[in-house]
Parts: sequence; C-alpha cells; structure tokens
Amino acid sequence: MNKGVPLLEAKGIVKQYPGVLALDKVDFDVFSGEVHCLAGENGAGKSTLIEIIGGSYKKDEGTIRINGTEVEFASPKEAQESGIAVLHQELPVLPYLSVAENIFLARQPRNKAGFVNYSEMYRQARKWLDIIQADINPRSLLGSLPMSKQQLVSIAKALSLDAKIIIFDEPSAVLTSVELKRLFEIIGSVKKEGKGIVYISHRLEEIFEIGDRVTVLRNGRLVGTRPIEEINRDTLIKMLVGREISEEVPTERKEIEDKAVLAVKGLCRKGIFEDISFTVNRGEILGVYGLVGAGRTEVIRVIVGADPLDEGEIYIENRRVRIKSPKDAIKYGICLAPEDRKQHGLILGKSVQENIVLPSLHRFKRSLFLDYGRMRSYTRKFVSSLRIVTPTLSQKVRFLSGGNQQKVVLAKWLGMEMKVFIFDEPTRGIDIGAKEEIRSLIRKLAEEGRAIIVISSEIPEIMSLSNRIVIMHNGRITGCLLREEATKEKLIAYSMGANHI
Amino acid sequence: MRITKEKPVELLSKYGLYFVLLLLIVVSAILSPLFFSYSNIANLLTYNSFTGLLSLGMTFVILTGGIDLSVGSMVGFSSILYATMLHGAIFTFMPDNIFIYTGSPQLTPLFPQGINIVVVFLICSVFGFISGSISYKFRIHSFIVTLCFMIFIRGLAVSYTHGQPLFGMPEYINFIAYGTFLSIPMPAIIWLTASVFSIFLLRYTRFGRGIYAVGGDEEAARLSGIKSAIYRIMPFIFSAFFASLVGIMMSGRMACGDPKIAQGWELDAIAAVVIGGTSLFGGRGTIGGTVVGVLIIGLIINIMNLLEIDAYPQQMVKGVIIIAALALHNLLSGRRYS
Repeated sequence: MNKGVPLLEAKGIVKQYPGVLALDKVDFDVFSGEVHCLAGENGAGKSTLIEIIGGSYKKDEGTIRINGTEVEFASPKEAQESGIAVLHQELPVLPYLSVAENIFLARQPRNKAGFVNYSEMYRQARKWLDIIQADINPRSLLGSLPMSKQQLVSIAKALSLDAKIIIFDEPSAVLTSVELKRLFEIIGSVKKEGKGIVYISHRLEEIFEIGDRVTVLRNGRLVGTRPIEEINRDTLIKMLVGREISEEVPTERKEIEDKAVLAVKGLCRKGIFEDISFTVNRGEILGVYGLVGAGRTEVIRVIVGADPLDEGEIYIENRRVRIKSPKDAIKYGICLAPEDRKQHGLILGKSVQENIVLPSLHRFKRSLFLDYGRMRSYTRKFVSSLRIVTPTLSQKVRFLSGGNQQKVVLAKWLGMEMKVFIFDEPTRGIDIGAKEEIRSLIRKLAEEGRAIIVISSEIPEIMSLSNRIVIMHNGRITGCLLREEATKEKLIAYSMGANHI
Repeated sequence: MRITKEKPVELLSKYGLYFVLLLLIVVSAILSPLFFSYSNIANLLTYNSFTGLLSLGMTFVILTGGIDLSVGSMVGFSSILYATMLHGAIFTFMPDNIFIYTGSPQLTPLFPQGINIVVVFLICSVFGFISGSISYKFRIHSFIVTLCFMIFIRGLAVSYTHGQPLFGMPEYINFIAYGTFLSIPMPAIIWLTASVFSIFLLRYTRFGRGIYAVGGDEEAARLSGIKSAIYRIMPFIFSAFFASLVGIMMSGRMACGDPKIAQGWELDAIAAVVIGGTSLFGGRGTIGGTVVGVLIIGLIINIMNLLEIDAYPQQMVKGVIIIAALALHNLLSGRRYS
C-alpha cells in the first residue's frame, strides 16, 4: 500500500515551549489513500504536531515535505494552499452565515460583472455536500445546524479546497455514535479517492476500526509507527503507556472513616454524561481520571450548581439536597477550585486580599462598613499558613506564579469551613516544585477531615493523591479502583473505554 | 431537515421589524388623516434621510464589531469646512481677518463649484481612515478612538468660526437640500439610493461578505484567508463619508455652515442600526433592517407630533421605546436556536 513518495512527510520535528519540550524529533508521514491515526495521552504532543503541519504554529527544527518538496508554512492559509486541511475539534465557523458561504468564504463564485453569484454558490455547495451525502441545505445558517452537521460542512469545505491531506482532530468528541459511523463511511470514500487522512483519537476502538497505521506519541516523543494489522489492543496500550511504572510512591494509607460527606446517585445531564454515582467520605480523597472530553468537569459543574441537572440525586451527609446555583453549593459546604483558575477562580486584576476575602465578605461587616483591619489579619493568616509568596497583600493576583494563584483560590475557601473541596486539575500550569506543595496541602485538607475530589489528567498525580479513583470515559464511569489496585495500565485502559481488564 | 416550517416565534423574530413598521403606519393613519398627506410623507422622509445616511455608515462599522461616535461631530465639521471653502479658505482659526462672522454673501470659492464638495468628502474620509487605522493598529476599541475623535473634530469645527454659523451658500446646493425629483424630496432620494448601493455592496461583493466574516469571527475569517485590516478600516471611511454628505446637505438646508449642528446624532444613528437588528457584536445585520429602524424611530416621532406631544417628553418616549424594542427582539431571537 504505502509506496512511493508520501503525500506528507514530517521529519525530526522539534517544538520547544518555555520549560517544556513539546515535540522531540518526531517523524510522521501520510501516504495517499491511507488513514493514519495519531494517538497519545493528553499532552503527548498530538495537537502541537498537527498545528505545526497545519501552519498555525512554527516548528523549531525539522522539515516538512509535501509530495517530496520541502515547504515552510507561515500561516494556515499557506498550508491550505498546499492541500492540507485541518478540521479542528472546535471549528472556527461563522454561525450567522449560510452553509454555502462558510464553504466558499473569500472565494465566492462571481459572475462576469464581479458580483457574488449566489445561485452558483449554492449549486456548488450542494455538489460538495452531495459528494459526502450530507443532507444539508446550503442556504441554512451554519449556526442552526448541530455540531455533527457543522463537521460535515467543514469536510465539504476541505474537499472543495481540493485538500490532499485531511486532518481530523478528535472528531468523535462532538459526534454521536451514529454520526461517527457516518463519518467513518465518508472517511472511507475520501480515502479511496487517494486523499491522505490523519485521524487523531484516543479511543482505541476507533483506531482499530478505521486506521491503516497508527503513530503513538508520548511526552512529546515518538514511540513508534505500526501498521494496524501488526498490533492488538494490548500492544497499543503498552505503547501509549510506556513501560515505566508510576514514579511516585503512594503515601501511607490512612484508615478512612466510613462516613459519607458527599454522595451522588445516578447523575445525568442529557448528551453529556449519565448514570454517575459515587461517594466521598470524611477524610478521603477521591480521584477522578479520564481523558479530555470524558465529562469529568461537566459532572463537577453540576455538583457545584453551575449547570442544571437533568436527573439524579445529591446527598450531603445523608441528607438529600437540591443545588440550583453555586450559592446553594457554597451553603452546603461544597467549593470548587476550577481548572481555569484565571478565568473562573480568581479576579486577576484584584489584590491577594480582595480575592481571599471575597466569598466571606459578609463576615467583615461592622455596622454598615467593612472592617479592613480584620480583613487584613484574616488574609495574613492564610498567606503565612499556606506560604503564599507575595510581596504585599495588595499585590495583584495576576502577578503571582501559578502555584501561588492556586493557593489564593484555596485560601478563599479555607476560611469558609467547607466540607467538600473539589479540585479540577489543581496543578496544571504550575511548576514542578510548587506542584508537590499544592498536593501536600490537599492531603492536609483531607487529614483535617474534609472530603476531597481531585480531577486530574496526570496519572502519577492521581495515584499519589487519591484513596480511591473513579475513571470516566465518554460520559460514563467505567471503573472504580482502590489505590492499591490501581495501575497506570488499568487507568488508561478504563479511560479509553475498556470495560474489563 | 431540508424544508422545515418556521415556527411563529421564528417568523416574528425574523420579520418582526416589518410588522412593527406596518403597525406604526396603521396607527399613524388612524390617529391622523393628515398622515398620508403628501407633505407629511415628504417631511417624514426628508427629516429621516439625515439620520438614515448616518446610520448606513454606522451599519458598516457595527457589522465589523466597532462603533463610530464621531459622526455627529463630522457633520458639523463638514458643514463649516464646506462654508469656509466657499469663502476661499480651507482652514482658518479666528477668521475675523478673512471675513466677518456673519459671512459674506459674496462667495469666492476655493475651487470650481463641485470640486469643493469632493474636497470635503476627501478630508472627512481621511479622518475616518485615521480613526479606523488607529483602532485597528493599536487595538484600541473604536468606542474610545471615535469618542476622542468626536471631541477633537467638534473642537476643530468650532475653532473655525468661534462656533458661529457662516452664511452664504451657492444656488445649486438648494437642489440637493430642497429640490424634488418626481416629487420625491432630494434628501430622501439620496438616502434611498445610498441604501440600495449599500445593500448591493454588502450582499453581492466579496468585500461585503468579508465584512460579515470579519465581524462574525476574525479567526475564522483569517483561516479562510481573509486579511482583516481593510475590513476593519473601510467602514470608518464610509461612515465619515456619509457624515460629510449629511453635513453638506444640512448646510444647504440652513443656507449656512454651522459647526454646532448634529450634536448627539450619532446616538440616533446607533439606535436605528440596533433597532434594525444589527448585532453590536458584529457579523449580523442588514441595511434593510437599518432603513426600517430609521423609519420606526421617525414614525414614532411623527405620531407624537401628530398627537401634538411636546418635544421634550418626546425624548422620554423615544428612550423607553428603543429599550423595549431591543428587549423584545432579544427575547424572541434568544430562542431561535434552542
């Protein structure tokens, strides 16, 4: 099958970010008429690689050849002109323009006088949509279509651009299984026309269903490229996970009191997750593992009242509660340190003190006014106990390091005597030294008898913190392991949708 | 999926504007038998053509997600600039050594007649180009840039003559201001012609489609190979051009150049654009909607005039109605995709 010159050949690609080597001499190629899957854990470098191929990022080293000729892309446009189409997971589209116009943006068919010829545009759009048998009216507004159909429109666009190489970035994340089947059929027919397909996914079943070859990346390095016939599930998992065992020694397991603080039963939010049940006991850290898009954050958002719940029950200390807003959640003692702390956890332009006292402001009232003296001593207490490194209490939070910002988020809730602390990716974007500090703070919170939920995509982190680990895949819980039973392989297998090991 | 019947709510949110216009016309006709008289309709069209022209330029600007607060000042500036040029100068501080404040009916135009107007268009368009470029280049929101231009240009305009009007207009300008063609007032003809031209530009040229694309999502537009600079700057040039056109027409109607006219007209123009369904976030809206928006505001004023409501309380009603219209519109359109 793979004969002659590859359509696309990337060799020795290196991409360095401050402090991180995102790609370390990675080779990747695509031949005409094949589906080449790209797999790897979160943060393995898949996205960086395709952004470089698609012209959005610049590579530091390495060469990219198209049909054997070396190319250098300065913009996505240039990559597009060389026949590369990247179908991003979150497609940048113009929802208020018609389907046809999205396909032919900036190259609308024109009549002799130079004016946009709408009937011709609709006719051509119809033609491309028919090729992929998409039942979409070219005149309807793109924004009125469901995500899956928008995806089909971008495939039509890629075809109309005469793309030779079409890159799908985790399309399954937004598609239902029926739609995915349809997409696979389309990929199959496009493949027959001699296009090269790159398909990024971390779902094993998909890779085996449509892939011809698979390339695995791990920590920015190339693990290997194999024809799909030569490998099975187990070898692929081994490639994804690597041989090294968890670097971090689990801390001593302390006896957990069997006293449920937070229990959820059968939580469901239609189309996002379903049948989520778990309990967190006093003094326990419950880890929630899963790949990006598994629905972890969405479950948490329901528990803290940020999103509405369709079905299911939430219990606090065996009492059923209804949480309709974040305010309710705080009232019941549930707090969240969100993943995107810069956007949802902190007011960056405000000082350390203002951020810390914000949720407990009512406690500093003295008649009509606020007692700034008490606010200051209250803040100082947390700054020293959490060792927040800041020149003054009035330093703007924007200028603190990631680790210290996370501590400020923590301090906000500590003074409120919360019962349940939920951490969504508590150490993301924090440098290594501070990571451990945050982790030990989390452990300390648990020892003090609070119930903790930690969402993390880092396996070593989740293994070192948690007493129990719940694994989610595709909006469902696929496994629940005690720390003693948990291994990296098991976590990854469950997170990729395996039901048993 | 191919053909879906539109629900009443969708229909209402799509064509609601036209229903409102129709309703207002019916109400007006019932309230006063004078409404359908030639003079009332002619007046209605004439008075609204000035806001109408300003709101055309404003539509281009708002479609790209910007706003232009300087158009009112630009009208005043172009008016005094034009009058000054008719007296033989392009710029003058404190003009007593050149001509007296009341002006001289003895015109000594700087250029042959029509050219003066073209020069006014050019100078104002350059101002539009500068404000648009500053906003684009330095990433300052056009709200701020044009707010500063509003102050600056008004300051420049009143500097010419200490804020005094300058009298003396040539004969031919009367035709633009007061003339009729097929018994339609000229200002209305200019407005409607410009509207048709704008509709055409936005709908049938790649440039027009690019305005929608850049205003809708600059990143999506960029990925499709659209360079946004021209789409971000051109609308301000259009806006300034339409403002200078209004300034010259107003000069003709008043038979003088007046640097203090059109204060606050930018807000009327913005209100009309927004009532016409153009999103302040950009990427969505039509010239047709804007024209209807101008007529809706104009008709409401007209009805109140017919009812002999005092001019001052009229402003209160206007304020309330604009908010009500937008609230209703958002209530309806919010449901469109759910």
